[in-house]
Amino acid sequence: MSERNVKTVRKVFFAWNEEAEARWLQQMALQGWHLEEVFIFTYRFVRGKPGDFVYRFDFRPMKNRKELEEYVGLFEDAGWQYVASLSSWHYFRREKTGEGCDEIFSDNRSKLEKYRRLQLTMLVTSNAALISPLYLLVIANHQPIIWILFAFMMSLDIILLYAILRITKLIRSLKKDLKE
Amino acid sequence: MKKSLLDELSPLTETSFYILLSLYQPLHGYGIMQQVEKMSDGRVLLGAGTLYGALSKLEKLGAIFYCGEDPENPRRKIYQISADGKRLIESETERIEKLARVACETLLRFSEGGR
Repeated sequence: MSERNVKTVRKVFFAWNEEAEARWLQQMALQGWHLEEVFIFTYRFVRGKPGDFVYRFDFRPMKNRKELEEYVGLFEDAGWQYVASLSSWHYFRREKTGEGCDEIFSDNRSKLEKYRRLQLTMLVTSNAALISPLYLLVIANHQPIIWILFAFMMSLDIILLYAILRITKLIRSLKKDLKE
Repeated sequence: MKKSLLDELSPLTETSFYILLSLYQPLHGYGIMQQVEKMSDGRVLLGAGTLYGALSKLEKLGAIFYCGEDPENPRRKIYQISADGKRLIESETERIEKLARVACETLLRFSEGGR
């Protein structure tokens, strides 16, 4: 085995340009690299037969393992292969055959609802993320390490708030499509 | 209960309408996909994500109910339309019938007038 059969690639994609992420994963599959596991901004591929695969992502918080299994089962029945999950993001793929539906959402309304779920989760997270650095200041004041931690947490909050803004913009444009 | 169900779902989207119609018999998710495709002459192909979301919503609002898992495949949940769901279908069918009647009358009147 001189050839490497697994490779890990670091790449940054955000929820508002997941078409680019899907295109990239499709390109990788055309070269015989199939996604196996997803981490934050990190993708692990295994080498296989090159093929034309469509990748799609859903965002859906799951209550428990059983719920996830039933959810995945429905996608598999419909011809999708479950790849991996990253928190509440679920990655699916299917080989392009011209048969069946290449989209996991067949109407604009359900597509919009996916981003609403994402927006809600982000809003809840941002609330917690905004309160905890302030709490940090209250419990231990005037220590330099606390200020460094505080600055770090606040910069994470700024990124999160920017992400919420982008998702809200996306929802607004999808809503416009729904009315037309 | 019945009123809020009607408010939330009416007017029914084509997706929800077909899903509810398919559930006059107990079916699991994949069965619904096939049934809806057949009923619509292959025009309505439900996406897996769309169907999963629609089933959660219809169940939460009480239009359908969970009646157990498929004995051959425990990952497949079987659903059926509820009494409230049936009432919803009846009132929506009435609404669409009326709409179609008015449309037919209008078309007829204007085609005669044009001659």
